[in-house]
Amino acid sequence: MRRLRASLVRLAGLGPATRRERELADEIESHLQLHIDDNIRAGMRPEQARRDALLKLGGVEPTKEAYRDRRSVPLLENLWRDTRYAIRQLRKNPGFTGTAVLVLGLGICASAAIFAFVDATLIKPLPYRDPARLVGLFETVQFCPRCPLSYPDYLDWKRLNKVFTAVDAFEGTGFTLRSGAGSEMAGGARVTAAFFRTLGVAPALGRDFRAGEDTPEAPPTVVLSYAAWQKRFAGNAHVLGQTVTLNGDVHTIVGVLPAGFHFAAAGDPEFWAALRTNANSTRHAAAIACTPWRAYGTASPSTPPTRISNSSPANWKSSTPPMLARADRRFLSSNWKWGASAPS
Amino acid sequence: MWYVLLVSNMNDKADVWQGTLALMVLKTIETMGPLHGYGIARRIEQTSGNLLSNYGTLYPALLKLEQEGSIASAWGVSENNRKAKFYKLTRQGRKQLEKEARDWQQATAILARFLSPSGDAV
Repeated sequence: MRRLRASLVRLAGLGPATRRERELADEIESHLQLHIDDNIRAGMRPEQARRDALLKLGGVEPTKEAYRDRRSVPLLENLWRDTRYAIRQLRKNPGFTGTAVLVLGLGICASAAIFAFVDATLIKPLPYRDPARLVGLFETVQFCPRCPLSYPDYLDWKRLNKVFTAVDAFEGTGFTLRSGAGSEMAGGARVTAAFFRTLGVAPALGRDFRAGEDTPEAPPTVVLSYAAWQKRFAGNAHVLGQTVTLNGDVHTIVGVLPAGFHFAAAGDPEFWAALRTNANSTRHAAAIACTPWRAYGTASPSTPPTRISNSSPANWKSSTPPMLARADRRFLSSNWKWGASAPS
Repeated sequence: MWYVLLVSNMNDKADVWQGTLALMVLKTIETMGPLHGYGIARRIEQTSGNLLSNYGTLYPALLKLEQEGSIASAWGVSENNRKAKFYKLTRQGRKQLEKEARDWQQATAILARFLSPSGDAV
């Protein structure tokens, strides 16, 4: 308690101290006078008396110095003096100051930007229900260890899957959006019906796709990203049921995704359309080799996440041959010696 | 390395010295009533022999006690009409003096028993 009080008093002693300095000088001068008086009374000559008093004190300046060290915190006092000196110097050289501030500013901005990126990609958890259980599924071949798979392969994998609780797919794409002024390009993705449920993302408004809405027979439906809802529909709550024309097809808006939802793998699209295709669709039969399908699987809840990452390649090895055997028989020329992988 | 040891050793000694000096100051002011720095220095010199080789070392000790709230100071006039800063004991200082004097007496009593030639403590 006493120490704390003393520390506070010493901290308060920082800063300009002309009054305190004068008081210290007065006190030491008074000390010397009292001593000189005594010495003279003891029979010394005045100059001898003063000399003796000074000697006994141990010098005026050393005494003052020891006193000042105790009065405030010397380290902080010096720091304060250095800071003021630095500020004076900076004011004197505006060119140097400007350059230094600019360089420091750029450095800080760059660090902040890099950290923001690292934070978003590595530190913050992904905005899905159970990110540790999500894996990407890829076809592998010697020259392409992580290849997107074709839609018929996806259907086979989904049907033969015994490892994952769900397997869904997305295709990052762009849409030609018809707007009042004409047409423009907008970021988009096509997804299978249960895609958002597999990620564990519930729409902020409306609903996500129902089972069967990803078949060609179903009427075209679309879910908006939160950003698109704000930008193109001004956050209008009555947006559900309105239509947008994407690639010439009129799509009905059925839902809006939450603001925190991101899906960088598809380039954070504005429009999420239901897939509306089947295995026999000519479009996809023709696109086997290059359709950028990527499947997302969720491991079954009974499998702990650590086991998925460790054991899934083995599981896949044992379960892929029949899958690929089927795929190979149908698309023998293009699917030669393909495997499957689920990197953790 | 040796330098560091030396310095820390000196600091330890200085701490002990500061502690004893503070106790002497408190005791002096208690005995003599409000007193200026020069008076305190003379009194300590008279009672302790040559312990206070420089009167100047007293002033940081006085400042420390004042910062801790054990003593208070005010300008006044000395018996021979000189302006001087007088120090007096505060209530907290009185308590501190009692406690530290008691601690000191206990410590010296223990050490005295320990170091006595008869060695009855061992």
